[in-house]
Amino acid sequence: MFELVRNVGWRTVDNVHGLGGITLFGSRLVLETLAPPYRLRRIVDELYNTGVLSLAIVCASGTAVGLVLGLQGYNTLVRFGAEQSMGAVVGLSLVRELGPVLTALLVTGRAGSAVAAEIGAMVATEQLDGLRMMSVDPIDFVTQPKALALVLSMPLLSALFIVFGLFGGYLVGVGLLGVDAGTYISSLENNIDFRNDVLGSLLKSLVFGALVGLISTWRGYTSAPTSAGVSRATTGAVVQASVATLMFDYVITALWGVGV
Amino acid sequence: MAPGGARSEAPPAGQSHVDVVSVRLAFGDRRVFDGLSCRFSQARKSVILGASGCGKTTLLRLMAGLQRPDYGDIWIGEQEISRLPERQIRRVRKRLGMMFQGGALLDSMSVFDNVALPLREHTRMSEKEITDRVHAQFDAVGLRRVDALLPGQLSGGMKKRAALARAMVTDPEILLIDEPFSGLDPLAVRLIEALLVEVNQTKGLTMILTNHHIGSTMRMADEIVFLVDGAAISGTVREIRESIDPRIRRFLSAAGSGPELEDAS
Repeated sequence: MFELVRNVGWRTVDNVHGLGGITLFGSRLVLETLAPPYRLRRIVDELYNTGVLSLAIVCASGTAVGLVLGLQGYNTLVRFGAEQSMGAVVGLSLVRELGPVLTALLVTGRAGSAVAAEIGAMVATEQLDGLRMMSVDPIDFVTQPKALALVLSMPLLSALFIVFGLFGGYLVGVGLLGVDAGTYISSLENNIDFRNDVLGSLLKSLVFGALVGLISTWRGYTSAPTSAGVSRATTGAVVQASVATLMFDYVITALWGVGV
Repeated sequence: MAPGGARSEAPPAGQSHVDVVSVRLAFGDRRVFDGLSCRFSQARKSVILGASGCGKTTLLRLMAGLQRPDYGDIWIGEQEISRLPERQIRRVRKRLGMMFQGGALLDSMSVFDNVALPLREHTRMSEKEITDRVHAQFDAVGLRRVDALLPGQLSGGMKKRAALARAMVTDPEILLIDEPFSGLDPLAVRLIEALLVEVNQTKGLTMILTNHHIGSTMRMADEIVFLVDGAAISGTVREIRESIDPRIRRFLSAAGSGPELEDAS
């Protein structure tokens, strides 16, 4: 019993300590982003790594999700004789929910894990200590460009996911199931509101980008300098960023979507 | 001196460049140093010797400010660094260069960019001046045509040379070198050894090395700091070799069974 209480106590202290650590780390990232030197070259490189290299997986996944949404949406709507609303169903599902959330999960798996593993490997091979010995701050030089690139690329990738998803829905609805093209497009246009739907989607993507950037860089930066440590950091980054994305999705939806 | 307190005055004037004073350090239950004190003289080659796991690399990291002691002081010249905030330690580190055991070169950057990095970060030198300086460093350590190569494309010895070039490119006062000979063949050991001796003689910088390679230590060291049981025994090569301390005798006789020590003596 005493052992149990002690373990719970230690775990609580450990979690609070970790929460404090990641908060301070996040504050440092923000400060380094705002303060010079602005490492534009490194940010562009990281945008390529996190954004451009994620394009294929995001576009393919977006199309696949759009195809499935088209099929499922049509099969449901046709029961109520409302298949002319297919554009709205596909569009609203993608813009409000699936676009930002699935993009965040995909980017977490592809780029977030890579970021955590790369920084973890740099810890294990003393590259971050090497930077410190050159009086170069590794948070400023290594982690900040990676985190910022994830924040910036997430809304763009999410937008692409949505566009390809709409295209997938169009292919199934118009090309396969015989929904009128004009009806699909006009249903889409009439039912998607810029402020409530598109801006909300953008906000979600930005928050998810910040979460994935923060958690991935933090897990890499604090990883134990061993191969097992790098492995734990990578897995931890994917799990924690995915769970955080889903939890924050609920919070943002509740706050942004109430009354809509 | 209270735990965590600062020494009221700088170490007495003399030849000492780095002073480690009454340092205690533990990792969890494992005590690494228990009142360790030692000093490293200016412009000399000091080698930290000791068995595996005795804390040689940890001592270097303490002197570099990468590790904080639980108790005690680390003096770099007139500056006590063990309780300085990271921002101020960064200023002190501009006087230091460190060559890590594995090189610690940034593997996403070319060898040239690795060596040029501290110049780009901390000086207003033009690209032309930086290029000249980096190439001069490459010449000094005997590296040719490596500018565009990535660290992963270098051999172990070349990686050590590139790391040494990076550590020296800003002309530091003190060079900390962690296991420069590990993983190298005997010829490469001789080459790096000759290089370090030459650098020490031409630049007159304080050189502090960790090493478990007894032969090279006996050949090149001006001073030896022998780590044992969480404390240090210091002396010249002759003093250490003639020491009657059974722990040193045991260590040296174990090493002396190989050809290296015979070669050194």
